[in-house]
Amino acid sequence: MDYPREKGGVRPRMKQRGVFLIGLILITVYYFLFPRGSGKEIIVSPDSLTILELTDSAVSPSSIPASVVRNGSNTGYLDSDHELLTLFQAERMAADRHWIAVSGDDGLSLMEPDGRLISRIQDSGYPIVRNGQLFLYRNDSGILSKINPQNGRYLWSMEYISAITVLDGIPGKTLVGLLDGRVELIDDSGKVLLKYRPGGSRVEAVYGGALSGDGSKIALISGLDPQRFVLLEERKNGYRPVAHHDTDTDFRRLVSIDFIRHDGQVLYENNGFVNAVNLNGYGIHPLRFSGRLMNVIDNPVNDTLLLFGKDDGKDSIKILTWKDRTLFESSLPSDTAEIVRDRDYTLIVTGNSIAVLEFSVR
Amino acid sequence: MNKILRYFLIFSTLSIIAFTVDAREWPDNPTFVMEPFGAAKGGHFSRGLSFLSEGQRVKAWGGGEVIWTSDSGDGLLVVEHEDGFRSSYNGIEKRPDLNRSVTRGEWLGYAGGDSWLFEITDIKQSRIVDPITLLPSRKNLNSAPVGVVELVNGSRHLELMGEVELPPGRWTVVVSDFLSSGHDAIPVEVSLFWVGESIGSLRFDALEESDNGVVLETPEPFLFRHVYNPDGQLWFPDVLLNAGTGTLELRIRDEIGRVVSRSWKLTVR
Repeated sequence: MDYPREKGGVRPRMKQRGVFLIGLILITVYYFLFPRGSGKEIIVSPDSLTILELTDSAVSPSSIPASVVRNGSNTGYLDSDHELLTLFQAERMAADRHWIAVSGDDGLSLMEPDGRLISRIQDSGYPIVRNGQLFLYRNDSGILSKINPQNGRYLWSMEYISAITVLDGIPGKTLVGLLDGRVELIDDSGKVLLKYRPGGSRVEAVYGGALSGDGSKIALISGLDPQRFVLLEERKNGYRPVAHHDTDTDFRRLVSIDFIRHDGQVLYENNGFVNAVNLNGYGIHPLRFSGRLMNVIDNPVNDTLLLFGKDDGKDSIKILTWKDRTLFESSLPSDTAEIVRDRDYTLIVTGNSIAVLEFSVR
Repeated sequence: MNKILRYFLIFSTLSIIAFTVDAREWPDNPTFVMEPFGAAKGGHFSRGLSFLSEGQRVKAWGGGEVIWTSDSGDGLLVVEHEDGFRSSYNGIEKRPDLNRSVTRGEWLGYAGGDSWLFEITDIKQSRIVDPITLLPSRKNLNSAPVGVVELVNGSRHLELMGEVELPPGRWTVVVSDFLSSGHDAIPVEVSLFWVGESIGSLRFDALEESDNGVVLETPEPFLFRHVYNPDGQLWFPDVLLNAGTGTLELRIRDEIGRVVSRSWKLTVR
């Protein structure tokens, strides 16, 4: 077929194709070479810096401090302006906004944040707090106890021959993971609701575990060669495995894993990534993150995740969107102990200070 | 032919045992042992050998694979060995450049705190075993001390020395100061005999989980409170002593198989 020729002798369909190709090339070059707006940007506003030192101020009786921070041998209670109210110093402590447990030579002292004694327990060990639940672990005897922080009474005690590697709890349920590969779920009366062994690996051990906010789901990282992700869900006939996959990791230490997005996702540490597992379909969504994941602050409102990590002694913070777009990334002092969220503020707790920042996304 | 086969089997078994023990190494200085396996420790059994810490290097008991390290708490390192055992080093500061695979005697880290604890778990049988039975024999050891033996009935306490006269009834035999450290041999079995008949025997072989907590296999499973009194002394409760004369004998077998015995002549009337 003979097409009528225009100036330059190019056929119309070919011209269209040429324009399309040039457009495509320009878009590609623009996409890769030129900076573009993320659609979101983060504004960091410093709020305050508080030195962690013994103070004359105090928590007023019967008031509840706004937040509690922990750093090695210090536990500090802060007011709503992030001013330090009280500082407790001890090697073994666990604290909540409503109580503090301090382990010493004379046993475990359970106190109000203002220092008033609630109860003294003639038992030594490591006090541990998980979601407001108080536990006492004696690693020389393998005895784990759950204690009512309101009165210091033991709810239950369990004695294990294997080291405990994972502990998570909500009111009414406690998840225990053991180095010999077992997992137990215990209710507040001490009844074992679940005994489970993920198996499927050459070396059996539990390296990570989390309990969902309503206690109906359990997420685990277990074993070596392969290391596996396992998800259990409560059904009519008890907890049943509903999803599992190999993680392609070989961690020989505690692996950070947690439920996020109102228990709709599980986030766990991976090599160079954190993997988010969607509990509706169990698809894996990797997000770039290097180093050891220490803690996650999820903000579903603005669709961001704050990740705190340690990599070869270097501490860092990263805020990223669910679409894996980094909004903020910064190194932190190497003695950063924890990052805590209080309303719209982020508290970075280091060896001797608390830096309060406000991250807002627009 | 059967005789040859039997000798062959005995020789093979002995060779395997000798090889297994020889393939192990003390993780620390053998004279640094502070507390043996099974000792009373704040209301529970000691789960391994406790060593004095002076910041010394701690070594791998045998070759294997490091499966757990933890810097939090007291610092725990666990090595899995090919023969179904796991060795745990609790209270050590991990060597920074530690590889995943370790060889026998390779240093793992530094002893921290005042003491550190060495445990061995038999994974296949889900129990913690006495490390002393799986370590090369210690040499130039004193005999295990027999300790102090008392008979207790209510508020009545009789320390046994020479000949003793006592009323008939049910008594508790309390043995204290028999667990040793340093250059004394560690007792692995304590037995009590009355007029030649065994009235109780405790072997410190292994600990395992039961529905009621961790028990000592002796070979019967005993909870801590059945083995020790609240002061941490070994006790044989409910020993019935009828009227008559007889000999009460305490026998202690130590880590290298020696048996130390002590007896008392009792007149019950």
